[in-house]
Amino acid sequence: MSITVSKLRTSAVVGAVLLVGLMSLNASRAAFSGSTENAPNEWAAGSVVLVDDDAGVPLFDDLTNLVPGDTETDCIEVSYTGTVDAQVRVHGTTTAGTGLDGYLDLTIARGTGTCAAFVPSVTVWDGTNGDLGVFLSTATDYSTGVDTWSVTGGLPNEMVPFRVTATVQDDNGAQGLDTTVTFTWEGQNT
Amino acid sequence: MTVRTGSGETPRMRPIAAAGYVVASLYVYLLVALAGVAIALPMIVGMSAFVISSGSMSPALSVGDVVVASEPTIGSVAPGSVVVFENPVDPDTWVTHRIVGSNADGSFISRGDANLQVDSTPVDMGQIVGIGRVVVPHIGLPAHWLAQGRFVLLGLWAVVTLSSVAFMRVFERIHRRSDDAEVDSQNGGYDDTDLVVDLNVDDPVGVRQTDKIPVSLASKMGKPAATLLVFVASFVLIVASTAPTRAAFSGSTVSTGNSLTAAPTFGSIEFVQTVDTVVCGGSSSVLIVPPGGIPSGDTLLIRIALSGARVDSTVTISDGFNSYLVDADVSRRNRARMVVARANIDVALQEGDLITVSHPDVRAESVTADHFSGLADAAPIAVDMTSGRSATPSADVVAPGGTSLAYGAVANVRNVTHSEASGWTTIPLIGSSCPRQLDNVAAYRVASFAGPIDYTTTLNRTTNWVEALIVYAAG
Repeated sequence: MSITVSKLRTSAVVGAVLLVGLMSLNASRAAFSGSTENAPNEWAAGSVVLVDDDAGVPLFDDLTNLVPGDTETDCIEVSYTGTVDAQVRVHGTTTAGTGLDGYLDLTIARGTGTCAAFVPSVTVWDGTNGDLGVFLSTATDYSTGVDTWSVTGGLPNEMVPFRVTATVQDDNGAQGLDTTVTFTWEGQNT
Repeated sequence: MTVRTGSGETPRMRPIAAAGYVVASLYVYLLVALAGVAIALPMIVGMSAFVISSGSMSPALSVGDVVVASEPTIGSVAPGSVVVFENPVDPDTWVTHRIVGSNADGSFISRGDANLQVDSTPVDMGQIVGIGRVVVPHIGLPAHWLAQGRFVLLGLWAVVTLSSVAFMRVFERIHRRSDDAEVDSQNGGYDDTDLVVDLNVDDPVGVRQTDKIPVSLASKMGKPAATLLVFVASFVLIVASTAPTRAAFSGSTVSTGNSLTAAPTFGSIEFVQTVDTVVCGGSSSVLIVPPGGIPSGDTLLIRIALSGARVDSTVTISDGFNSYLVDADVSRRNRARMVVARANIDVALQEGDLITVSHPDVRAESVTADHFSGLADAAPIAVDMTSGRSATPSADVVAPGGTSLAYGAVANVRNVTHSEASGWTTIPLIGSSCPRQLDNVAAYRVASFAGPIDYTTTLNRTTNWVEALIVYAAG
């Protein structure tokens, strides 16, 4: 038996058909296997990565006995180390409390430089937007987040400091209330 | 004469060339088959096709994969499903992520496999346009490159593909006789694919001709060209019939546990009670200390409201033990006058002790004493005295800061209603008519800031009034 073009072609066609089936079946099974335990691929190229310098310490670290006019300011340096261009927004949520967030004036400012040498650059949130309670009820996720810090993927990594200030309003209604808040800086690729 | 153009020598088929032909053919037919599945499958089963254009679902889905998705139905979306849904950030685009949970309100939690955090926006059933059923890998890459303007990549792919087709065509052309030779060797010579012309001059009857050569597969030169047309058309169709989805990489960092707690009461300043009130007392009013007394360290604020009094008429206060100092004295001709005096109690007063307030005998008066704790034994840190004829008595001070008591006192002609701005605690109004009508009003607030403080009370009619706004430091 000799090798003919027909035989070569036939084997190519058969091979292609088998491959299509195998590839689609395999890809479909892998993608739709129903597992929710896929380990996040931390090394995936084209990722959005944000880090901060707070070492797990809250900006407002267990402040108690606050009275009207008391004001607390703290600063956090947020760095973007992702590989794709993205836009970073700020949103928040309250994880516990009796409503003090409605009596706290909130200011969030993005600056240049570092926390130690903060130069204000953009007003992300201030009194004209509402108090902390308004922030927590409106900026709840990325799509409703505030600020539009645009970052570019790749090196050099970009860092900006954010200064967050809370001031107790002069209202006796705040007496004895408390709140525990999470601030989230989230980026999505553009 | 017989001419036979059948099998003769065919070019030797080199093994490398043959292997190359198989590889090229495999590639081209694979392309066609994948494209066919990606287009035909959705059409046959009534589904939609989407091209993955970002890697946030890797490794399950890669850029260029085509996802064939079915219509979402209640119950078909569950944790583990890969779904295509409207991008909450840009509703004209789509996102392909995996459902990893659900919320109490029925909405779903989604996450790209390659993202560390779940998507921060929940996905409603109404936003889901398809549930992934089949993946046709890689076949959407040219469509993706075209959409992204990656013309270099697109061009390279076109060159590789066209070269493969050209190679196939050349190979088939060169070795078309190999098919012929194979058939001939089985038939011992000739078959009906061979052209046989019999020009027998000895047969005057005629020329015997075989039938026309049936065109063998090997000689169909047009086949590779047709193949090329098919998959060019396929890719055009894929571009037209699939939709690019953004798999939306996301990442975040948080500051958690920010906890703030307000003091149970603001400052240690407390309003204990109104000690006593005397109206229409004549030329003096005697206040009686109630049960509980007034401990040392606490403060008494005496409010004397007069109508028809001259500005220079004297007011004196005595309890026999403590000294009383006038902190504010404001009048509007003889219409109304308010005096606020303070005693920082050194010698405690007991129940039944008397505080005697001497004042001119005028046409209306009321005297009252408010008992506060937590005030410093010191002069006021800010005072404003105003008067006017309107429906909104008002005074302003600038507090220097630190926990303090702002105490506003108003005396107005006529008995009217009052309403304060929020944040102020009202001390019950004292009205007198002896015979002239007079109101004696006060309100207070505890504050801790440096800045303006305003005390305005709204009356239900215009009248003459005087107001004193005094700020006392805590201590």
